[in-house]
Amino acid sequence: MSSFQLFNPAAVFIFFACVLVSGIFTMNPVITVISLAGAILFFFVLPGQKNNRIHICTVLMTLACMVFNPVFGHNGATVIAVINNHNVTVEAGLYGIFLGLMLSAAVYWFASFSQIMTSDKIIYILGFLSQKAALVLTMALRFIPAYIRKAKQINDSQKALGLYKDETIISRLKGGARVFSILLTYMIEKTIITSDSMSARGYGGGRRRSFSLYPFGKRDVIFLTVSLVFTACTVYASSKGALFYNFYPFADTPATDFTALTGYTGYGLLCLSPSVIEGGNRIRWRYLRSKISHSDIRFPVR
Amino acid sequence: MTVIRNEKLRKALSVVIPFIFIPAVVLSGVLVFRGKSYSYGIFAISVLSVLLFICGFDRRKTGTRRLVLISAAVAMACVGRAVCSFIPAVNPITAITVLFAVYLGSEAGFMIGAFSALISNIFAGQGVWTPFQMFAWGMIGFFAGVFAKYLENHTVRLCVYVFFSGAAYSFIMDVWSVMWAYNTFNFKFYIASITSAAPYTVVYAVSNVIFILLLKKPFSEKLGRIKIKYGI
Amino acid sequence: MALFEVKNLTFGYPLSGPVIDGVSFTVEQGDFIAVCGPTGSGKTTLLRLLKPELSPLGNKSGEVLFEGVKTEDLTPAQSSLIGFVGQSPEHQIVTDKVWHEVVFGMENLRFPQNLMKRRAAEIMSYFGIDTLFDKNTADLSGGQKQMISLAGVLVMNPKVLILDEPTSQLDPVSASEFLTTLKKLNDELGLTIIITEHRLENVIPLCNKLCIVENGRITAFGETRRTVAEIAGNERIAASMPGSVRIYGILGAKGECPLNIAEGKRYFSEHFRRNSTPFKEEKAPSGEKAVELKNVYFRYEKSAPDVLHNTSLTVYKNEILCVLGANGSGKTSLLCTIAGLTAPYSGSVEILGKNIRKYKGQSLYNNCISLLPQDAQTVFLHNTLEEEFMKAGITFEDAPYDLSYAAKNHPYDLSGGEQQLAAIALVLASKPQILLLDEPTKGLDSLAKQKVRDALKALKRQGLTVIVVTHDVEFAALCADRAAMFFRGECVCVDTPYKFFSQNIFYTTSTARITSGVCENLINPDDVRRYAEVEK
Repeated sequence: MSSFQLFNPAAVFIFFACVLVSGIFTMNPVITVISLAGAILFFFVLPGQKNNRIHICTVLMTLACMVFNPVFGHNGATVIAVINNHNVTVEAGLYGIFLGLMLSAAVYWFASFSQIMTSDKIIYILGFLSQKAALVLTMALRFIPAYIRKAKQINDSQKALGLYKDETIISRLKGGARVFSILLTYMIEKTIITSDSMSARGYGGGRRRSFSLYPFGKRDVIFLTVSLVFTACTVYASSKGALFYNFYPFADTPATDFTALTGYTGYGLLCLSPSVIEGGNRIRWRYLRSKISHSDIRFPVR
Repeated sequence: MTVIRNEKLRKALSVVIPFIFIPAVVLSGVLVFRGKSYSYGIFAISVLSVLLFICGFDRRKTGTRRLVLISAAVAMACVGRAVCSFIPAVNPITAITVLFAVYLGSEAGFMIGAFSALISNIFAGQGVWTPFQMFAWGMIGFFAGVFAKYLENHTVRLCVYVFFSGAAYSFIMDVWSVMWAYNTFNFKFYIASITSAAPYTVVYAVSNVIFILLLKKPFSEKLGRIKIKYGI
Repeated sequence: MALFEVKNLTFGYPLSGPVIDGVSFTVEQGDFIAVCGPTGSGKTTLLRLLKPELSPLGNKSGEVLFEGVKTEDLTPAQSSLIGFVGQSPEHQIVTDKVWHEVVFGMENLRFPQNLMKRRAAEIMSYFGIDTLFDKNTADLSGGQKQMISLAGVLVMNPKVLILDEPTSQLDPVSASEFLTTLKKLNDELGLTIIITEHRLENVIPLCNKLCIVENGRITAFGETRRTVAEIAGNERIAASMPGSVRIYGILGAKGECPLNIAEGKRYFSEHFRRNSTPFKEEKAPSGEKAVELKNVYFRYEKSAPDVLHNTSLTVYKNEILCVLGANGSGKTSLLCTIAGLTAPYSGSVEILGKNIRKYKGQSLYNNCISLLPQDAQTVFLHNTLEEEFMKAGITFEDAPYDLSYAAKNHPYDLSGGEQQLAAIALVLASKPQILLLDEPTKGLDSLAKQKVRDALKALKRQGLTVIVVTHDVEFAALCADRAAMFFRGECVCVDTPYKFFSQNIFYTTSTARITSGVCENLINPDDVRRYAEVEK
């Protein structure tokens, strides 16, 4: 289990928002590289099932950006070739790589995000904004598996009734529409039972008090404060213009003055913090678990 | 806005947030993220307007049966997307959203579109595009509700509406992704991305029309019946 | 003070006559009341009128008082003291997580956080379902769903629990578990319970009062044993009574009425004098084979366990075969395999002497096999029954029973029994020779079951072969030519009903349980009637 399961989802959500917003909307290759490094590190540190196709995906995406950007964009001063009267420039290629890396970073962050923020946590966060919306979300999530199962049943029964006349596409399309139509009747009629069950338990559209499985503890306060301070550093540097970077006509050298360094450091620590927390907790857990095995003997043998 | 207990404060906030808070967030962000001001601007506007709609939905009174029906519609759209996921560029979310919106009104239409995007992305993959999708599908549902009177018993108009909203959806997503990635109003890029995505756009718009032709009749019959029988 | 006081209540839906007609009764604290009556007698409407949020709209006169307050005037907090659980486990669940479902009512009533947590913990521990806490509701069985619904109501600490056919969609094991839980709540917490139920054999031994509703009127109300004895002569109602009560009625209704099997056994041995030796020579079906399965193996996924395991079964032409067995014993998979919806990974299936693989395209479903799945509603596509029949290319005269009176109705507005019969008629549209039915009696009352039974027998006379998968032993005993028992994906035994049910000890009809040891070969109340010497 990830130690992020133990944090309040709101804190985790704000953390991800900070990383993504300040990472994606800052036009600076250093920030992008930091973001990508932090994202990949966290992706591997986070326990659980990993989808390894994601790496192929990001590499292809970066290559595609690198190739296509110079084809369409012809800004930049360092021309390396001319195709169809259009300049192909080094700067456009660099911008493409930068763009690809930024998108890759977002992909990795979102992969971790989806793994940690399970549906009930998204519902919890939405509940702050609107209880009614959160209720719609939880009900929809409850209906989806039921409808999928029902659709399969309906399809089977239609098949066994001999209603699919032949195996052509038209017959199948009609069959699909029939299944949908039956499912629609079923769904509409049954929503009445669900809403009765809600009314019977006192739901009247008024304000409710959401039951929360997630307390907001000291740990969350610290995590949130630290994240916000690091983000503030980045945003400060960004607003001072220290992180501003130009690709055209010549690619700049990234700024290295004090303000810029503050920004880099802040963002670097922000991106590193989840991996540190996760890694630290894992070491702590290993230590704690090592103590468990000693008390394994339950019945003293005489 | 359920965390705020004070009635007056809540009312005041409901005025302040849309007219002061949102422009403030957008403007200050644009100033901070100078290099990507457009990207940030469109992102912030779509996120915030989705939030605004959700808050509006929360404030208004919705009957229990209607609320369940909205949730069921969202589930239906997500199931539809899952079922059609093996055909590239085809999903029935636009069609289902529009059909429900015509019967349930603009607000329900927005919620169905936006939440279908959010939830189906839990399965299809969340990303930076989620707020854009929520906004785009939400708006398609919203306008279908606004024009409900003209669309309700008129299959041809409905087909025209979904064709163009399907095309518009693709265009807007293309334009957005270009603007988002390149941070410029560059028409060459737009045209390039729109032409390269043209086959998808056409397939999507046409598939929407096919969905409407297949689903219009059952929808009007069944939702009509429930409206009479249970007064939703 | 009485908990509920109903005074001269009359109710009618708009556009219809009175459904409830001048009903008066009182419910005392701690009562366990079973409300029974045929479908359409107004039971459900009566129960709904007791719960203000669910009261239907219509013309109402008379009044319902809950603790002396008119139900219309109850505050939400007072109304939450009336708990209500409906019949459909699938649709009354609202949220996607079990914990959320349990606390849903408390959220609406705005209980403090700590209290919500505490109550949820209490109720889940009390029911022993604490391991379900963070499961998805979609992954639960029907019985578990019903338990969660019950828990979600109980956390609000109701004074009275109203249940509308809560077990009709459950298999017998989960149903009796659910009813036992209700009894426990009644005994241990003094919770007042009002329940409607088809399966009276499980409820009658538990309840202390019985309420009989017929045509919107209460025809009998009072202490269970006395009320049961009162209606033993009323054939329409008595048909739905438990075996012991029916036998009591058949044997002349003398002395105290037995309510459970043990009492029934004692009563039977004291009062039964046979007029002749029951002997039933049954001809086992033979001749041409309709379906033959040889060593069939099937599983849903590569790594899942076998659902059908070395199954061999022969079904002869023109017989009714009832397949019995517990949940998950592979009964439904058997039907799907015969219907060609799932393919076994080993073994052979022959339909009408031809391997199922040789049926190309859709030919298996034309004039050959038809399957009606468990949920008859999956068949209905159109807005009226008439349209449904017309589109299927059949007329009301084709069906072996009359449904034309419901021609203009929406299929979902029909009663469960009518839906089942209509669905069977639609399934017959492809002129099948073999008809497969999955749980055709689920949720039906005794009258509707009888109609389904008659329909199946009529189809048999027309030359059809019928395979029925069911949990309902009483139904199987009355209509099967042979009964088969499935266990762990294997057919354990197949026999003619009299051999099957009189040799089974546990898995048999209530009549067989009551009569065994005294007189063999009696498996239905009608057998008792035939061989009993009734002193006039």
